[in-house]
Amino acid sequence: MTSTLQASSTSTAPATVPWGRVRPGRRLADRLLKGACIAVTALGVFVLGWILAMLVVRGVSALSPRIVTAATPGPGSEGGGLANAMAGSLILTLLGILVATPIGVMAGTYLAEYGKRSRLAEVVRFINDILLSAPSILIGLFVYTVMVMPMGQYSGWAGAVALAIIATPVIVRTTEDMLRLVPNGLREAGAALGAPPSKVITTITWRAARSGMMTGILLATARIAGETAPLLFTALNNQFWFSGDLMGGVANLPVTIYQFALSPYANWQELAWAGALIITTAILLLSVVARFVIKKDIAR
Amino acid sequence: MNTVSVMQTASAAGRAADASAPVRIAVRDLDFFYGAAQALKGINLDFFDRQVTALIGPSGCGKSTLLRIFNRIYSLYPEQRAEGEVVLDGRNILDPRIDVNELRSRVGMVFQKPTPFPMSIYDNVAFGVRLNERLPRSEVDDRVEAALRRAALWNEVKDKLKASGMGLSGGQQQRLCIARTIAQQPEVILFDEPTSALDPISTGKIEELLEQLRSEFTIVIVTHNMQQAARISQFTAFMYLGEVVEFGPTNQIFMNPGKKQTQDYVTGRFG
Amino acid sequence: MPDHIVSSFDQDLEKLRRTIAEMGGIAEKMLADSITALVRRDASLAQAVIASDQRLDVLQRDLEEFAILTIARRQPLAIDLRETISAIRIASDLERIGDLAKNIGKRALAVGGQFEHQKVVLGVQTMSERVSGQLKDVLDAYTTHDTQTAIGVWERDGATDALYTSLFRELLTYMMEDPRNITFCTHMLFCAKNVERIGDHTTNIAETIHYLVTGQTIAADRPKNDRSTAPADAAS
Repeated sequence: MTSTLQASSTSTAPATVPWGRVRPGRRLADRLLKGACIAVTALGVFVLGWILAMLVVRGVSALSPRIVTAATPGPGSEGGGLANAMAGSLILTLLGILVATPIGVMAGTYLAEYGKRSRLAEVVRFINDILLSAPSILIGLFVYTVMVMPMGQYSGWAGAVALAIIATPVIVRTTEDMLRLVPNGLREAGAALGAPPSKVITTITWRAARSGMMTGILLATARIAGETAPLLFTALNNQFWFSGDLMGGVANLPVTIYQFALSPYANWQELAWAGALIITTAILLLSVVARFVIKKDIAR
Repeated sequence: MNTVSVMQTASAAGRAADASAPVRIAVRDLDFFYGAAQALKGINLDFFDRQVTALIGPSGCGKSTLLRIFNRIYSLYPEQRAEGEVVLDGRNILDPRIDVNELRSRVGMVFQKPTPFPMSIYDNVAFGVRLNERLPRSEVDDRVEAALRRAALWNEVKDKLKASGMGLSGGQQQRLCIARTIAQQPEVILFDEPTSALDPISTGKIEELLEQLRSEFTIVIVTHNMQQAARISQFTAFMYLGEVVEFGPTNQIFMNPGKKQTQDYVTGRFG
Repeated sequence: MPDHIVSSFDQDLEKLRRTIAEMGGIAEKMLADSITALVRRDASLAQAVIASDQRLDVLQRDLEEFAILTIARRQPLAIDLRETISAIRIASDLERIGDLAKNIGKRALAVGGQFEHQKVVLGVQTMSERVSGQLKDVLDAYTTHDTQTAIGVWERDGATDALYTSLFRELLTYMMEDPRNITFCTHMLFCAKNVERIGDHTTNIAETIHYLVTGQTIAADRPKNDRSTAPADAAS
């Protein structure tokens, strides 16, 4: 009783300071931080825009129909395109992702659904994280040592394996993360109906995490599409059309760009810009598709 | 005196607690552990056939834990362990030789949060049916329709069976989950606070449904809502600190409980 | 009993109990005053009794409304539900007691100037003292939740009924002796009947208290010693 009386007496006491005023110091601090954030963001966007603008300007001027029809030119020869390199890149990326996806999805599923906090799972997770941040040149060197040297020649197979090794940890990570986001109630509900774990995983949890997992695979694809270093040691490059044989060097865009950009020939340099533009556009497209997949799933 | 008994039989026909019904689940000296922590201590309880038994008690008293033993859903988590006997249809379901998947097709469960699977309404309901039996398509159709009708959802979804189950409202999702459970034709259905995430109208529909389902299934329900327990159950067990304090006909537990602890809890004097 | 987690619930129940206590006090006073007015032929006291019935009616209506509101708001269970329902029942018994006392008051005014048998009035007074005792005890039993006292009241009412039966016979005799006594004796008969009815209400309250405390109704039928309606006795 007394407490309510006290409470009411304080609330009705006349206010000495008008309420609702922002202290000037606070307002200043707020504006300073806001200004700093905007400035730094603008700087980042500016640099990015600069790179993109230069890429577009130099790349578009180098674009021509023969880029997609003609093979890369030999040293000193005029003209030429990037068709063989693009085809090679497509094949290597596709092969890499085809190898990486089942391994990555299965390993991610193991970590999220079976291993959880077990010792083995922790070890796998740790190694995967290291692999995720390993410099890609190291992976190139590794594949060079275990595949290219014993086989005695550069090969598309080795390139695909190197790309797969880069893509796998990305897929493992995203798969695990996405499966962990699936509410546990869904697994319990599946189990409560008498579904064994394998059934729950394949028909319920995977389906619930489908879009996230797809996004992970698309992002991994985008990542390996632009990798140069591992291919330098494995698939190398050449100037010929893809022959259907993955033994021996296989033409690909990143290494072509790398080699042509450093060359003294003007037409090679131009082709390098065109190639860079094409790769960037392709990766951009993949990212957009990935976003679209997520959005569509959220809307559902 | 005569008029009183006439009134009881007339207004609550078939709703009164029937302790002469056969025992469907018998719990004997049941202990339960989360790792080293003991969550249930020496539980002895009978659950009667085709009666609704409510488990009430403050949070952490072990009522959900007890519920999760009846379909051994706890065994998804390796650190959880039950000791004692829970006899269903003459078999101790804690026996490691019991096939949990078969057990779970006999003992269905509906959870607190609606858990529609990310698939069509039809596939949601057909999920459990297809798990255990290989049925021709037309028969699955019939089972799905019957279950949806039984769950009072058919009229709302019959034109969109191919639509995703996630697109339904919360109350509809919960009824979908009930349909999914009854499509399997279990004997026992466990409800773990089935209406705590729903608005009053959806809650009313679920309660109405429970009333209907009682004629076919033995129902065990965990609820925090005491009025709900009083409305829908025939028997009530009050649990506290991992033990059953009092078990008896619901009318008795809520009007004239035998134990002081029960009285304090149902009248909101706990603390 | 420990307090509710929601303390305003305790206050609600306390308010019900307080209102019953207040009504009980008024009813007790009305009964006593009406009889005093009858014995002393005190018209102003009789008027006061008649006037105070209004207060009792208002309290009863308020209590009923508040109890219904409490049920709607708190959805009481077990002892709390019994407490709330009991308050409604006891309030209506007390309200009826008030009506009966008021009726005695009215009759005290009506018989004011008439010839009287003091002996008969004393008989009614004796009876009312018994019933007053019952009412006081049953109200005490309500505040202390004492079923023993309540059952005691419930059992005592048998003797009150017996007293009424003998008073009834006595009045009948006076009426047969001299027809001029009939008006007065009829008033006295109604007064005695009213007191007897008040006694019945105290047993109702006793039953309610028993239900409130134990959750059970009193098993046996109440001993009835009111023989005035038995045809053979009335004829003799």
